[in-house]
Amino acid sequence: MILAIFAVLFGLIFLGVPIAVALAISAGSYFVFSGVPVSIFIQQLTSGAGSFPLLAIPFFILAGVLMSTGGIARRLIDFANKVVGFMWGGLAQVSIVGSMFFAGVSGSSAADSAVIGNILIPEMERKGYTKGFAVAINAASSTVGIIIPPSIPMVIYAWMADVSVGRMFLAGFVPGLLFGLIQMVVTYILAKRGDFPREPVPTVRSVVTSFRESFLALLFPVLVLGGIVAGVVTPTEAGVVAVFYAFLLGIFVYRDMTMRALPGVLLEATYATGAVMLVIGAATTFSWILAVEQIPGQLVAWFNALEGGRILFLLFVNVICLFLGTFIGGTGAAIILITPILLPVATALGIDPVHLGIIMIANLAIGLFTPPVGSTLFISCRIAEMPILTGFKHCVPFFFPLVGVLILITYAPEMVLIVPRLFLGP
Amino acid sequence: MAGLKLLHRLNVIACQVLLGAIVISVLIDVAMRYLLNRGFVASGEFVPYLFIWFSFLAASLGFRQGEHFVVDVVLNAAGRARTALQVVIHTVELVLFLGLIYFGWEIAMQQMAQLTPYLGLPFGIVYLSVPLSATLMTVFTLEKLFGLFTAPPPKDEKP
Repeated sequence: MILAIFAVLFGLIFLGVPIAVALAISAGSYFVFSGVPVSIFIQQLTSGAGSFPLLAIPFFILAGVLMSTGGIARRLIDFANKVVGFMWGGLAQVSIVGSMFFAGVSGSSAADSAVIGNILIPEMERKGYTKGFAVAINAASSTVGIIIPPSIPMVIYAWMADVSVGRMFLAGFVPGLLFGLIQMVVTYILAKRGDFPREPVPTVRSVVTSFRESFLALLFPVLVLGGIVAGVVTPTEAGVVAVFYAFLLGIFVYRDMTMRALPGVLLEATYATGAVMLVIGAATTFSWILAVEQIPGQLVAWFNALEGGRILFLLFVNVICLFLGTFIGGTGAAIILITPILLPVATALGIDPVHLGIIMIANLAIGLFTPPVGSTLFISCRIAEMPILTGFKHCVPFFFPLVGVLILITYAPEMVLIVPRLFLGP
Repeated sequence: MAGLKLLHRLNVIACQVLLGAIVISVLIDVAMRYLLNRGFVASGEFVPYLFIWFSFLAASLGFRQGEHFVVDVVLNAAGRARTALQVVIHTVELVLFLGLIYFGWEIAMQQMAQLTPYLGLPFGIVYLSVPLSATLMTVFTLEKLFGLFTAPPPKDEKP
């Protein structure tokens, strides 16, 4: 039965049925055919949207849209330009560091790649970089959007795994920095070999001006995280405060947004939230079935019996998450589907749930710039009007080093857990 | 088609109002708790219900705009079979939506007598969001299905 359901699920996704629909219809047919009351299906479908913790999702989406409507992205990129633009790989380095800054104000990689890409891809082309390289750097660098806090997938994982959002956010810091740094190294090497242009060395004064201009935007993640970590606000409340802060910044401080833009902003956030929440609802019905069929229990028994089960399990996590990240897309769906399967095994093997969550999210992040459904690759290619596969070919130099980082954070949990332990205790 | 446009427009407005209301309620809640040291009674119960309604209406909007996550490799490679494949996809969608209308309506009616703890609203009202949004999804999907045969092939939708 369960195999048939999976076959239907992947078959439908492959045909091009929206992922949420494929999940809901394969799960729904299980309910109908096995005689489980379908009312449970409807309850599971709505449970995600009815939960207060997940309300943080539309809030962080909305804050991200507000931040990208105003001139905040421009200011962050300008500051990144002053800090790293003079290095080998000039604008490519700016794209990486700019993405890292912007990741601190947005919780999604898709937003990151659209906002940074719209500004930097055309500019890189103008300055003589190849189109493919511009696409690759944008697709790869915006993956940090979901690793550097705030992060929507982390909110979803924390809800599923019953861990603190603050802990997840803090745990994203070191992996996020590593993701950025390794890309900077790769870019440096490629740029030196290809003799890519560099930006002029900035004057001290222009660095100071640029810092002052972007200071309030850079302060944003500090405020959000600080509030959550200090226990002043819940993550959901932090989300709404973030919306308010972004609103004030756009309307009153930087004044590059008007009240008339608000309905449009709300609508853009509506589309993004609708897509995410439907997938969450549908994936919840599916994971309910997996639990009823006792798939996690079987896995626990299996890995417990294995010699070196822990190491093999972590490898298994990476393989399955990379696969899901590349083929299912929508990081939220993947997390809801597999957390209930992987978490019990991880707990049985003594793996910290926060560590597991970060491994999963880092994998899914890499899946964002690999075909067939990588959203950052897709968005970057659309901006540059380039076919997906051509775009991916240029991403390959970034793929393997990032997998290297993945292996590092998988087998050295201390790197992930040190920051949350420092701030929140063991 | 003018009717469909109006329906879409109303749906858009409903979503904007709901999202705005959610943001403002939680914001007031936070402000009252930290500035005046007391909670905003209704929001704890009220806001998740608004959130359910918002999510499902927003999801139905997404079906018209093509905002839902899709793996379109096969679809793009289908060439001439593309239209046939799209008919299959929309049919699968319709089966789901009709199921949601039927079973969603059933649970909503069952839960009409059940009242929420603080506001005393029937739970059924919360669940009504499912059949209602599924009806909208059905209408928008039928629109697309007919569009396949009447209109010239539409431009690529957003992913």
